[in-house]
Amino acid sequence: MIKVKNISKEFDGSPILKGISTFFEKGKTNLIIGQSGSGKTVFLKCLLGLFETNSGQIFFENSPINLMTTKERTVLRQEIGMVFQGSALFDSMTVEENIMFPMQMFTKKDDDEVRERANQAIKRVNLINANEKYPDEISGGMKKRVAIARSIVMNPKYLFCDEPNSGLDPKTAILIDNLIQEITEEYNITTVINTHDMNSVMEIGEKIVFLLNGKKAWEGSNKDIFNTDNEAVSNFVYSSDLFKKVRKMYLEKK
Amino acid sequence: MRVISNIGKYFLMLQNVFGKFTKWKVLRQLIFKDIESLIIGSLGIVSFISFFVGGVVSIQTALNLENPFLPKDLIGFATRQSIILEFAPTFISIIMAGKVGSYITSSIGTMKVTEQIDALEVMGINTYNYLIFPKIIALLLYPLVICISMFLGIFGGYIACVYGGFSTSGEFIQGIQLDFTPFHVTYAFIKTAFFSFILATIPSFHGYFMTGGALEVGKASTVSFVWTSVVIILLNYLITQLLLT
Ligand SMILES: Nc1ncnc2c1ncn2[C@@H]1O[C@H](COP(=O)(O)OP(=O)(O)O)[C@@H](O)[C@H]1O
Ligand SMILES: [Mg+2]
Repeated sequence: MIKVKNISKEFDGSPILKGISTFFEKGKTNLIIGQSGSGKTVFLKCLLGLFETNSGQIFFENSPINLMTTKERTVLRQEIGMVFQGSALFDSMTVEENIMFPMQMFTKKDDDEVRERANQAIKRVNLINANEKYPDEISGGMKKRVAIARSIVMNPKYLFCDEPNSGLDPKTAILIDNLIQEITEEYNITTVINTHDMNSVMEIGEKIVFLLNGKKAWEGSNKDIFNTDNEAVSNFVYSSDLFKKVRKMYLEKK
Repeated sequence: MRVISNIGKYFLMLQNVFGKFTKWKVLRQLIFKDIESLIIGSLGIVSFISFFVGGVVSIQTALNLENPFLPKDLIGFATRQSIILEFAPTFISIIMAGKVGSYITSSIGTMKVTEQIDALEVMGINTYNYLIFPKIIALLLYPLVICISMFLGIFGGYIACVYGGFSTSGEFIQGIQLDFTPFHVTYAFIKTAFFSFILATIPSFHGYFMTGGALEVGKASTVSFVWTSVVIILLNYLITQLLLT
């Protein structure tokens, strides 16, 4: 469980996040949606502690991160898995080495154990015949799988994904979404996903927070989003004709 | 104003480099990798330049010594002095600012823009130590590069002088040994030690704190080269003033 209380963040005097409060539950896929530039990445990086917020508080379980010592933060970070927008794989390492890396850094496991655990994670994300390849030799979808494997290899309590299916074809995007959701349930992780992909909203939006110009403009589940009379969010979600029709059909059926 | 705040940021960065240390097993591998790319990878170009510039220095000296009353061993002497005092430590360092410096800036900068540094940070790694410390250690071998440069520079001078018919081999070797002041070598290596630290840290700074995309990585490398050279030249002046006058 992550709680966010009234956080704000500005860069050089211009406000990017404006007083956001919400919470994210365990075992659920929580989505942050909003247009490009609405502050999703900044929000996620505040949760991660990569950016300091200007005001407000963030609680992991019940500990506020801004009051944590450096040591406590280091411990917390090892409980967090993060999938970056561009995957952020270490390009000097092979796929297998990328996934082994966090364990080599932070556990006392010997090389065989590390390799074995890495290969469990590789299997879990359905990566086939890629162990010895370098990141620039694999496809975008495979890179995401490697990034997901690397982020779960330390059994995190929290998983953050920044636009996990940007740059993927729709079919691969759905596979990646489903993989993240399965992992979330299986390991009972608190997962927060940034996205502007409407398929993801419909497929895995157990909780959705809609950001508009750095403010929380709406929150609810993917079921609520069909019925909402909040204009901002329905304009955003139903900006394509296809989704407008789907919504109409859904409401008529009810 | 920007420069002053950047200088502050640079020193904070250095403080962080020596903060929380990365696991030794991992650090060792990084150091070896950096020795390979920064030191071993530079030997070729440094040798090539040193040999030929050494040759040119001795030919130029010879051509300026047309007066038959001047002893021929001055050619070897002048070549040795200019190579040991300036050419090897300073001139080669400027070349290294271009080669090693832009390599460091662009490799760290690429990691920055592709969020690899964020990824390390999220894992709880001290990225300053992880990325910059191995480079500082690898460049502790930099004086070795300068040593090779000195040797090859003088050797190039010898070849050019003897085979160009400007003096005999004996005269040149006598010139090299003429009036030898060991402190000049010490002075050269004191400079080199400072330069090696500059070569590791200023380009790292420009890579680590850059923002933007691939285009900005290129720009950052250029800016990094300019600043690294400027600092080397200023430091060279300062150290010379302090040690030789
Ligand atoms: N490090 C930074 N420094 C200054 N401004 C930033 C920085 N990171 C993001 N911003 C600004 O914050 C705003 C929101 O960006 P971002 O969170 O990346 O949007 P999104 O992820 O929703 O597309 C943008 O206007 C961006 O320019
Ligand atoms: Mg973003």
